[in-house]
Formats: sequence, structure tokens, C-alpha cells
Amino acid sequence: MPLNKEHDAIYITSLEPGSGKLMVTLGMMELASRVVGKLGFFRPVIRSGPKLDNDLDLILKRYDLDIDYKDAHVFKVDEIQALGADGKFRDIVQAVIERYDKIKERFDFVIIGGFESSGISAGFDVDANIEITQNLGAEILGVMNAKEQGPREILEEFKISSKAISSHGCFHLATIINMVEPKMIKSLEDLFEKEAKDHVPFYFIPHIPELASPTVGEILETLNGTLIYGKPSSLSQIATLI
Amino acid sequence: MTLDNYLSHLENGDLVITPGDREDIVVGTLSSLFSKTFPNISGILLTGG
Repeated sequence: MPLNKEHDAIYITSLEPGSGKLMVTLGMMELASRVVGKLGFFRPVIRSGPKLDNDLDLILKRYDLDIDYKDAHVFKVDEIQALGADGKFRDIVQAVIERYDKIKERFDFVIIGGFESSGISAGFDVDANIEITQNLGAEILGVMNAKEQGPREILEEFKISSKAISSHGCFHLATIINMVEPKMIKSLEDLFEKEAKDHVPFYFIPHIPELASPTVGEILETLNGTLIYGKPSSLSQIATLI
Repeated sequence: MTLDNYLSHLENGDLVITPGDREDIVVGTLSSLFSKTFPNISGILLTGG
């Protein structure tokens, strides 16, 4: 994917949770880290709770970025919910923009992980994402989840989301259509080639169940379990649940 | 389910969830780990103490 030099940031967003945005974000970081001088990462909203946000922590460490964990985010989901309940929509957007302005000065290129599930409402999430990108001057990279959808439904969703982005005057870089049934990719390519040629570039990523499955270690942690027998190294195995 | 029937359901990468007092399942599953012909499970999750 060619990186547009006119913009110095990409905002990766999806309208639904579980779209595989993290994987796409990692892919974009990998790509950008090879072509950009000083690369930064910003995730305005992270998950609630005292623990580190795994996604943000992973990216900061993997790419050894020159930005502190506390500076790379602004809110936790529960803080957003509280502000949203008080109708302080503008304050949220303003705080994100102010932080981004500070980050932007220190980096040549910034990848921003948008948020898709603040828990306030889907309408709020869409509005906030659009409002923020408009103000940041970032290009939008959309991520769509194609799981359990037919080619027509995927095409319609792609068109609707593309229209929503462009009608607000945002710069739409491309849309990644994730978790496509491998058998469906050929017919989907043909359909998109025929009916979505005039739209922004689109890319398909096949659905690989192992990528979405938890490891034994993650299950152990989530359930607060105790390891009775076995090597800690074997906890990285993918668990298949039927 | 008896151990015999249960073992025929095992597949590679399975996480087996079983109560801790089903000794037959626990021992049978652990034994499967040492077998060359049985699928390799990813783990056993014991529930209920």
C-alpha cells in the first residue's frame, strides 16, 4: 500500500469490535517502520481497569517507540463513558486533538488506533472517530469484519462505510476487509472489481481461525486459574474450543 | 460420557474442560499426551475445585 506523503498520519478505525483491527495495525506499523524515519503510535482510548492495555503495550514495546505509555493514550473506556453520559462530547474530542498535536511534533509519521466500542453508542463512536480524524488531518484506513457475511452484504457494507467517510470530507486511504472465508475470496474479488472499482482501494484478508483463538495462557489468566502441571512455555499454545 | 467415548472425540489443539473429580477423564487425557497415535491437545482446564 503506498503511503501518502501529503498526510503524516493514518487513523485505523472500524465500526465494530472484533474486526481484527489490532492485526491490521501491527501490519501497518511493520510497513511504516521500514519506510518512515521516526514513527509514532497513538491510541486515544484504551481499555478500562488497572492493567496495562495489551494492544498499546505490545505496539510500544515491539517497535521500541520513543513515547511513554501514559502519553500514548488519553482516556480509558470508562472515563469516556462517564464524560459521554455528562454530554461532554466536545471535551473528549478536544483532549484527543490536543494530545495528538503534541505527539505530532515529535514524529515524522503517526499511526493512530481509533476506537470502536466506547460503550456509549454506535452513533457516538462513529461521530467521534470522524470528528477526530477531520481535526487530525489523518487518512482513514477502515477495517471491516466480513465474517459470516455473503459477498453482496460485504459489498454493501463497504459502500456504506466508504460513503460515510467521504461525505464528511475525511481522507479515505483504503479499506481492509478482514476475515473473509478463503473460498469466497475469488468471487468477492470479481464482484468488487465489477461494482466497486470507483471506490477507494480495498484489500481482503482471509479468515484464519487460529489467529482469533485464545492461547491456553490467556484462558488461564482470564479465569484467574492456577497452573498445576506443565511448562509455562506450553501456555502459548492455541486452544481450540468446540 | 465414558472415557472410551470421550477419547474418540479428541482432536489436535483441543482444550479439554472437565470437572476436577472426573479422574477417568483427567488420567485418560494425560495418558493421551504420551501416546504417539493420539492427537495432541493444547491443555486441560479443571473446574470445580
